[in-house]
Amino acid sequence: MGATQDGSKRSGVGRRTFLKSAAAVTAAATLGKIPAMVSAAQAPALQKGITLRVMAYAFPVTSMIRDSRAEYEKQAGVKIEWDEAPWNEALSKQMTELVTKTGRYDLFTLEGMWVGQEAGTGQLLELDDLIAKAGSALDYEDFIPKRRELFVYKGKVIGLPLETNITMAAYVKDIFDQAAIKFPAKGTGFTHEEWLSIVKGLHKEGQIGTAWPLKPMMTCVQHWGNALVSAGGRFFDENLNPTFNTKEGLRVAQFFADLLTCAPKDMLNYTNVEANEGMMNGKVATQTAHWASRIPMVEDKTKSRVAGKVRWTLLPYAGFAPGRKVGMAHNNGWAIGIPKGSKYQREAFDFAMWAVSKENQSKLLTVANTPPTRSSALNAPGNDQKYVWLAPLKEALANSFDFPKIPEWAEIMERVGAELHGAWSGQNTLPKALDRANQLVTDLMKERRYPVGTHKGPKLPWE
Amino acid sequence: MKDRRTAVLMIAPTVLVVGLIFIYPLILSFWTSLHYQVLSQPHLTRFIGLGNYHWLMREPRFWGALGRSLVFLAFTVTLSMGLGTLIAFLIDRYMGRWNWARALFLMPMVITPVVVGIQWRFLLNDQFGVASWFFEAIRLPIGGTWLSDPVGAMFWVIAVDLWYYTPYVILLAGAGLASIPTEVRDAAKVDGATPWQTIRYVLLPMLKAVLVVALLIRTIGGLRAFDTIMIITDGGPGRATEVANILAYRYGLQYFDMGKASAIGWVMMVVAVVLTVVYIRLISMGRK
Repeated sequence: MGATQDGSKRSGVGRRTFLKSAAAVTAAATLGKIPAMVSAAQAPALQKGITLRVMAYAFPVTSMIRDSRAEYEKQAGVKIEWDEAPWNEALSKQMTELVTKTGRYDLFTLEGMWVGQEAGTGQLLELDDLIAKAGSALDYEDFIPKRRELFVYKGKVIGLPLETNITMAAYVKDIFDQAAIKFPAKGTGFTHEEWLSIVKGLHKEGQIGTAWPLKPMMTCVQHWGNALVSAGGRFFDENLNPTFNTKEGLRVAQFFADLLTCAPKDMLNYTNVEANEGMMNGKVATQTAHWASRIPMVEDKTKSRVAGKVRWTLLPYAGFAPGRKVGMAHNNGWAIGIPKGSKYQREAFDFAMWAVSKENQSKLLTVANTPPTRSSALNAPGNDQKYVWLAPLKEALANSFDFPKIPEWAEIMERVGAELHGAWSGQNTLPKALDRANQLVTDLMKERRYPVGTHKGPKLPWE
Repeated sequence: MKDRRTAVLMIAPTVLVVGLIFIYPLILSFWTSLHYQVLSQPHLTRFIGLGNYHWLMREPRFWGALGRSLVFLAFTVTLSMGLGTLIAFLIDRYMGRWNWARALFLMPMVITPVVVGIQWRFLLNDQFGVASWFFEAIRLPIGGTWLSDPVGAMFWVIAVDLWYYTPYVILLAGAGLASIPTEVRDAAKVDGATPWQTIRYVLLPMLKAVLVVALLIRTIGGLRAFDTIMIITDGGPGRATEVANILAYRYGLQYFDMGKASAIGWVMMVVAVVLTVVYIRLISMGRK
């Protein structure tokens, strides 16, 4: 060891020793890297330094994917940046991104009722080829058919199904038991008259008979629409004339007006949050229409007073149409889609495939208490006994129908919903509100150049 | 000449930035308003001249929303100006040295409008709301259906706006009062003016310029009202609290009908400009 002029000690390593050591270190480092390079070859994205950006709606299902994405990052070598926003904001962002084709996002979460609006831009990637190439790694056929169909637009697949969502009626079992309410046999549901009588009986001091969401405005059509179809009604006739003001439409609108008398006083201002909170606080005995995606909240023991006490059944709209034994619900759920503007479409598809993999779909059920989209996860032995909501959910799915998959559907729901909402709040009569709603839809469809009143053929243009 | 060139060069960056972030989007939105443009139906996009404005003039929903905007504006502006000025005078007279009182009044202003909306929505909720619980506790049967009733909903969105923005008027009027020299008040006292006469003939005229600025800002704020209403009532029940900005939002970010949304935005901007010009005229008339 020598000393420098400033007095500090100088390393005694000579030039030759240094070069030897450097060579040894380099060799060791190179050898050490070999296994890492092998795994990089298996995950080609690793060496590209790719970052995938997701725009998602914050909810239990997306949170689960978000929280476990580190697993995928490690496995594939890509980085996943996760942006979240409430539904409306997420949709606005997605639509803007789709139209401006910025390529800023690589993956979107899609929602069934807005498929027409987003896919209508023509900027969602058609996934058919990628699905075909993925083969058994994806096992697309494992997704239940209703889920697959929901994310097919004009014959092309635009999303990989992520979560099943459908409405059922929910009730607190203890309250039903105390009131000795007789439960319908399997394959049948409560009729609307039975349900009205039940909630009337349960609506008393300190207890509210029922609740369901009526905000935002389009929510009104989601629930009224389910009852309408259960009553044998339709949204359009065979010539594409809107049929929102038929006698069936009026009848079911009146049914909801009657139900409002057994609901919280401020029900017209209730979103999913308030309706669910009412039941979770133990104040509301039933939810006439309860989204399956809200089950995790009701079943959360840390937040819900009725966790483990709630049971689900089919929507109570049987009996509206002669011979109909069950109420029908519209087929809904979420998927993962890829904007055409994405620079990393292949990598984005790989991530989407991982997000909806059999393993993650099973986790969705076991960890997040959320309905999956794969048959293998839904129908695994013992699940029906373990998850009390699963059997009615499957029955609801079997009796579900599709809302029209057109770009205007979300707008139609908002417009018609506001008319119904206005009538339920006493600003208009129900017949006048439905007539007005029908006229608004007619005008809109004509403006968008649909062959209203002149369409001919066995099916409507989007069917 | 050289000075002129230097001046032009120095203001050029500002003009450029303002042009890029203000003028360009304005021109673009006007150009959009001349088109039929629905984002989810790009194949229908076409130039339609003043078609969207023609549609707007015949659309009852627009006139309803504009009417509600004006009702909202009239109530929120007059009440916040009146209440704000009154409270500023009371603070000035009785709590002049209590700065914490002023700070207390400013508290609502530090909360973002979205949080204000959520907070009031739950305060007024019939099941979990503190307001409903309070009225029930004092056996006053007025709670519960406020937001499900068209008049009640409009009342509450106005009340929330007052709660949120009146402190702004208090702040401005208070600052104006603080800037009036003590000698002026003393002189009024020596001349035998009563407190009311001091306010009416001395302080209010001296505050006029500040109050007109507050009025202008409150009017523009009232015309921009959106966030709290959207969160508290979503424009409902039915369309009972759907003001023009909510209508523009629906067309723009729910229906994605950008042509019509831009036309609504432009008409609202014209309304705001007209009101601003009227106020500015009032200020200059007052000065003369």
